[in-house]
Amino acid sequence: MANKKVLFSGLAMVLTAGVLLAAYQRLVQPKYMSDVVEGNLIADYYNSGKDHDVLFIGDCECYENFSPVKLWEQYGISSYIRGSAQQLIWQSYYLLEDTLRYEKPKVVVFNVLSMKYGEPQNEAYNRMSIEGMKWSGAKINNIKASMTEEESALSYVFPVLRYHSRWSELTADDFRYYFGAEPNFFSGYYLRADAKAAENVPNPTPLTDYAFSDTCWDYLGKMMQLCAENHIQLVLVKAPSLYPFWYDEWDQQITDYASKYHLPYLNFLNEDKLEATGIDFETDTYDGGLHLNVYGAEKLADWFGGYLTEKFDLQDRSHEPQLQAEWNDICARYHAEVDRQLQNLEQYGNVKGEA
Amino acid sequence: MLFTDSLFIFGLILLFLLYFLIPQKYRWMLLLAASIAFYAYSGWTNLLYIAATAVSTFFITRKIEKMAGAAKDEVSAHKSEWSRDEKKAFKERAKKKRRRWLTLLLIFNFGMLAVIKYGAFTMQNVNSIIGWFGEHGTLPVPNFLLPMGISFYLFQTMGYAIDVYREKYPCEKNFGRLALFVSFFPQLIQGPISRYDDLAKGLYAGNGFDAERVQLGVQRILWGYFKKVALADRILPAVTLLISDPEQYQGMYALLGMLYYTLQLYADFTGGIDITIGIGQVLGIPIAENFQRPFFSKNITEYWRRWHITLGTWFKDYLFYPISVAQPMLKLSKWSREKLGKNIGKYLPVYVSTIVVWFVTGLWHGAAWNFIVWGLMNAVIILISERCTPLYSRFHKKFAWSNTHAYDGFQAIRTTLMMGCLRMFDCYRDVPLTFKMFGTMFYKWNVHVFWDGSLMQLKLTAADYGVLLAGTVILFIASLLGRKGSVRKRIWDRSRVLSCCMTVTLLLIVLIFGAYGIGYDSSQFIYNQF
Amino acid sequence: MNKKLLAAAVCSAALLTMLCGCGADNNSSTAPASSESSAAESSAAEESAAESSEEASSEAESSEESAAEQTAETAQITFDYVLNGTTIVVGEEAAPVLEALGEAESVFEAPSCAFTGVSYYYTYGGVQVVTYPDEHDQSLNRLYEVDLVDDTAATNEGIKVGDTYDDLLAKYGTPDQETPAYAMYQTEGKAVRFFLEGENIKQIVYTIVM
Repeated sequence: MANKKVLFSGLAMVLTAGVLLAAYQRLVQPKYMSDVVEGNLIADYYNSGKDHDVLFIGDCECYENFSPVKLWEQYGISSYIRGSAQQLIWQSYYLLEDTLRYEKPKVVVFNVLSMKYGEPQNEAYNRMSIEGMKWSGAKINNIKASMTEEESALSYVFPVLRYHSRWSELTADDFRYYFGAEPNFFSGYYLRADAKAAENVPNPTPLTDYAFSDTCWDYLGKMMQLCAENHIQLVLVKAPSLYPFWYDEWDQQITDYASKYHLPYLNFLNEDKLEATGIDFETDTYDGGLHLNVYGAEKLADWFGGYLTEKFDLQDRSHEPQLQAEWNDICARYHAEVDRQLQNLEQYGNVKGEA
Repeated sequence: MLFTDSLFIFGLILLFLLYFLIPQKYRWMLLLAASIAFYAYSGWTNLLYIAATAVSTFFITRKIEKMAGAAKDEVSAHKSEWSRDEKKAFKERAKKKRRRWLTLLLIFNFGMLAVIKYGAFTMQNVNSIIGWFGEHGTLPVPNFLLPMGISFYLFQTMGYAIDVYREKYPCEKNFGRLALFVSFFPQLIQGPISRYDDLAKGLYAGNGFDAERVQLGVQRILWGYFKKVALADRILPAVTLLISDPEQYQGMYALLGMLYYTLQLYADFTGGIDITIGIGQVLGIPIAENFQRPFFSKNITEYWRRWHITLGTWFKDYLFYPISVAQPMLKLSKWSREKLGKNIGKYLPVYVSTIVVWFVTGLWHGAAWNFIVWGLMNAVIILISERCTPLYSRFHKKFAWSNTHAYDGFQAIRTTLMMGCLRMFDCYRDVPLTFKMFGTMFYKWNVHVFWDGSLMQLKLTAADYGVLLAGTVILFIASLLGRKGSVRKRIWDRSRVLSCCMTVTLLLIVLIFGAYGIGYDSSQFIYNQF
Repeated sequence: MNKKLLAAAVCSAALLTMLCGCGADNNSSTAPASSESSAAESSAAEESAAESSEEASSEAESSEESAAEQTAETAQITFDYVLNGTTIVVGEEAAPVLEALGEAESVFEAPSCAFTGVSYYYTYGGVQVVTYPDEHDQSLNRLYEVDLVDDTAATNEGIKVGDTYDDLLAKYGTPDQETPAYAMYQTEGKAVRFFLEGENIKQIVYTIVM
C-alpha cells in the first residue's frame, strides 16, 4: 500500500514536471514569425498536401530563386521547395529521405552550392534546418551529421535545454504563436517583392584549394542512389546568385561529375542561361544580386518549368480537384502577399511595413 | 566527469534505480563498480594511482593491526613475568615498529602526491635558486596530470590509516569495501573528507528505499544544482573577465571581482557538496556536512569552523595535535618558557603549530606561492585574533550595543569581506599582483562604475543580475531558516504534497534558470583541481 | 640523530624555497574558476612536450637550421597591409580602420543566409577590403581580407599584380606553402597569398588563417 502510494507520488511528480516543462518549452522555442522567418521553412512542409511532382532541396538559393506558384500557374506542375538557410548537403540528403516517407516526386532539384561546406558550420542554422523535422531515422542521422562541437544531441530531443534561458528574451510573438506558426511561405518559397540592383559585385578571391570534401561527394552519391532506387530524376542546378562566388573550378568538377553519371546540370549563372531566362540583375534581385525577388523567381520558374516539362514529360495537373483546391489557396495568398509588400514599399519604403 | 555532465546525471538516475532493485548485500558492490567506472572515465591510467593508495593502505593497516594484536598477546603472555616498566618498554618498542609501517605508508602516498602535485612547483623554485648563482636553472620541471580528487581521497584514506594505528577502530578486512571507502564517487570531485567510522555506518549497509529519505536527498541534490548551475555558472564569465585583465579592472572592479568570486566560490563549492550529500542521503549513506552557514561567522576562527569543515578537522586531528604533542614541540615549549618568558613561552608551540598547519593548508589548495601566502595570512589573522581575545571580551562587556543582533550582523559582514579579501590571492594567482589589486580598491576611486552602466559590460545582462540577486536572497533566507534545522524536513513533516511540489519546483528552477548549454561555458567545480 | 638531521634538512630546504619563491611570477593568469584547466593545461603541456621532444630527436640538424633561417626570413615579411597610411590587421575590429580609410569608392553588402550578420566588400582603387561579422556578436564587424586586384597597389615589400614569381622570391624568399597556382607566406593567424597565372601574379590576398 505504502509502495503504491510512493510509486504514484513519484509518477505524479515526474508527469507534472514533464507537462510543465513541455509547456515552457513551447513558450521559449523561437517562433520565427518576425525576424528570422526562415526558421519555419522545414516544419511548413508537413502542412502541405504532399503531392508534388518536383521537389527542390537546398539552401536559400533554392527557396528564394524559384517560384512554385509560377510553375503551377504556367505548367500545372505541383512543386515544393524543401529548403532552409545554409542547408548543408547531408541535411539536404536527410530531408530528401524524410520527404520520401510521405511522397515520391518525379524530379528532385538540388542546388549544388552546399558542396562547398564539408563540415558542420553553425549551430543556429542547424537548428533551423533540423528542428522542424518530424522525428524519424532521417532526423536522428541528420542531427548526428550536423552537430558542431558545442552541441549536444540531447538538446535536440529536449529543445528546452537549448532555449531555456529565453525567458528573458520573450516577445509578443512567443505568446501570439504559442500554439503554432502562421503560414509564411508558398510551397516553401520565400517571397520578396522589392528590388535592389546588383552593383559593385566584388572580384572573387581565389582559393588555395578548390577540391570539394569527400563528405560532400559521398552525400551527393547517396542522393543520386536514393533517387535512382526510387525512380526519381535528380537534376543538379546552380541558382543565379552572384554571391557567394561560384568558382569555375567548382563548376568544372560538378560538370564532370554530372557528365560521368548522366545527370543534368544547369548553371544558371552562365551567359546562355541568363539570356534564356531573361534575368536582369537590375530589377530581378532584392539584395544586390544574392537572391532573386519574385519577378526574377518567376522568370526562372517560367524557363525551368518548360525545361522540366519537356525533358521529363511532366503532366499538367492543374485540373485535378484536390491539387486545385490546395494550389488555389497558395496562389491566392501568394498574390495577396505580393500586393501587401508592394503597398508597404510604397507606404513605408520596406516590405515588412515597419515605420 | 563533472556533476553537470548529462552522462553523470543519467548514470546517477540509473544507479539509484539499480541500487534499490538489487538485493541488499550487493548494493555496496554496485557502488564500488560505479565509483570505478566514474573514476575510469577520467582516464584508465589515473586508476593506477588510486589503486596504489587503496592497495598499500589495505595491506599496511592490516599489518599494523596484526602487529598490535600480537603485541597485546605478548604482553598478556608475560603478564606475571614482566615488570611494569618492562611491559611499558615493550609496548613502546612495538608501537615504534607499527609507527614505522605507518610512516612508510604515509611517505609512499604523500610522496606520490608531493611528486605529482608539487613536483613542478618545487623544481621551478629550485631552478630559481640556481638562477641566483648565475647559472641557468635548467633542471627538468615535471609536468604531471593531476589524478582527479587525489587531494581528497588521499587525505581521507591516510586519516583512516592513522585512526587504525591509533586503534580507534578495527581495520577493514575486505579489500573491496576499503576500495569503496577510498573511491566513493560522490566525494571524488571535491570531498568532503570523511572519517571511516562515520561513513562506514551507511556505506556498506545497503539501506533500502525510504520515501522521506529519498525525497529529501533528491531535494538536496536539486538545491546543489541550483546553486551550481543557476548561480555559480552564471556569474563565472564576469569573474573570469574581471580577473583576466588586472590592468583594466582595478579599484571598484577589483572589489566587484572579489564579491562576485565570493558568491561564485560559495555557490559552486557548497552546491557541489549539496549534490554529494544529497546522493548519500538518497542511498542512505550519511555524509559529513562541510559548511555551516559560513557567512554568518562573526570572526575568522568561527569562519574556519563553518567553511570546509572536514578539511579543518582533518588538519586539526592529524596535523595540529600530533605536532603540538610531538617531542620536538614539547622541547621547544620548554625552551621557550625558559628563554622567552612564561607569557610567550606558553603560546609559542601553539603558534608554531598553527603556522605549520596553515602553511600546509595553503599548500593543499595549490602548488603556488599565492596559496601559501594565503594560508599564512589566515594564520596571522587567527593568531592576532587569539591574542586580542581578552581585549574583545572587555569591549563586549563595556559596550552593550556590541551584543546586539545588529552588531552580530556587522561582524558577519566584516568577516565575509575580510575572507573575501584574503581570497583575492586565489583570484590573481600572483602575490605582488594581489597586494597591488587590493591596494587599488583604496586609491583608485572609480565608484562611478556602479551607476554608469559599466556593470552591464561585464558579460552579465540585467536578467542575469536579476537571477543572481534573487538567488542570493533565496540563499540567505534558506540559511536563516536553516538555523532551526532542516528546511526540507520541516516541509515534509508539514505536508507531503508540499514537499513533492517543492521537488518539482526545484527541478524546474534548475532547468529554466540554469546557466548551461550553448552560450554558457560549463565550468568544472573550482575544487576539481584537487 | 638521523631523524633530526633529516628534519633539519627538510626545514632548511623549505626555508630556502620560500625565500626564493616569494614574488615569483606564477605562469597562470587565468581565473580561478578556469583553474580546472590546470588539469587540462598540464595534460596539454605534457602532450606538446612529448611531441616536441620526439620531433627534436628525429629531425636532422640541417633542417633545423633551415627552419631557423626560414623563421628569420618570414619574421621580416609584413602581414599587415598598409593602405594610404592605415595599417590593416586582419582579425581586428573593422570600424576604426574603415573610418581612417574614409569613404570607399564602392561597397558591396553580402548578408549571410537568413541575415544573421553581413559581410562587406569595400573597394579603394585596386584594393578590396573585406569584413565579416564576429562569431559571438553579429553586429561587430572584423577585418577578414585585403585583396590587391590590379597593379595600382603594391605590397609593403614592393610586389604587385603583374610581377613575376622570381620577383616574389627575391623580395619574400621561399614560401611556406606553394603550388603552381599560388605561393603563401604564413605567420600566427595570418597569411599573405600570391595567386599565379603562369609565371605572373594575378592577385594578392592578405587573409586570416584559422
